[in-house]
Amino acid sequence: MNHNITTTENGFNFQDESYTFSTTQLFDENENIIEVDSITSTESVLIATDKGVIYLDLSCTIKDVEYTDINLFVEALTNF
Amino acid sequence: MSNIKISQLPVKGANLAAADLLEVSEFTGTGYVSKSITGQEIIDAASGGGGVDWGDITGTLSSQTDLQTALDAKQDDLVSGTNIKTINGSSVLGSGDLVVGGGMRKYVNTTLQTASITPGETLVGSYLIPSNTFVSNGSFEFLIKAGVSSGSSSLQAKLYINTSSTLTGATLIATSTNNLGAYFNFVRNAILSSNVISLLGSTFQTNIDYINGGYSQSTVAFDVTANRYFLVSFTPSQPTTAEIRGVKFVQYES
Repeated sequence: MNHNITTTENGFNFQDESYTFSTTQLFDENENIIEVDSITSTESVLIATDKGVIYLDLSCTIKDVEYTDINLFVEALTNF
Repeated sequence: MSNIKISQLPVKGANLAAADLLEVSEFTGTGYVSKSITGQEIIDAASGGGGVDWGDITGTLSSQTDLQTALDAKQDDLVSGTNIKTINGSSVLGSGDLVVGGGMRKYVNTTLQTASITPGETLVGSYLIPSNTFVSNGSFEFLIKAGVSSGSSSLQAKLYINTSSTLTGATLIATSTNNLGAYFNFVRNAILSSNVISLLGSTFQTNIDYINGGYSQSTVAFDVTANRYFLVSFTPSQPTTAEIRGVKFVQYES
């Protein structure tokens, strides 16, 4: 089942919820805060938001566009 | 046959019987005619008549032994602390709701979940937490016992929450370290306040959160009044067989 994501100026809308990007919660293995997104595989990414860290994958579309490259997916998600 | 007086008749010597006959003079409006009336008719007429009005019964109550026995069998009035216990010193008498705090709630699942997985993240355990399993406030902790059952891969576990049994759109609750040993316990101690879990940063990689130092906290929405899925994913470093031996989620109500 595809879920469509619509982007906003500083976040996105997904499944009747609005999310705002956050940079306060992601850590790397050395306990350093890292970027807003953390790509976990070629198909999935963890996105830090005001509602927590959200798992998104390529089963989602962004503005009804399907992606096969997770980097392009993240770029489309974070560039309004 | 000579006439005899009523007083000269033999005494019946028994209660009125249904088939007995008595003579009666029935007034017709102009005179009397002789008729018979059965004992049953008299009995029926007497039983259908009005009883004693409530409040007019005289005598001693204890003499009505069946009523006295029934009354004796009734429980005495409840007196808090005497013939009904109290809860934490509070009386339970009266109307209204007595809120009892400090209880424990839990969800435990010991079903073995085994999966053959490859590098990348895979959903391995999905646990439906029915609505109102927990309450909106209290402490909250969980344990996931997991590990690699064959092979030499490292293994990282993550715990998510979602409204459906899928990782897509799930919110990350916690991340374990990359475990090299066979089995590990993945543990967090948190606070649940107004349907929000506060705990160690969700992407901070550690099996246990009894750690020194101050680290950022994560807040994750957990609406306890609706069905929610707790999801456990595995990320191995190489193809392997991994398993979840069981999970527990425990809350101590505030």
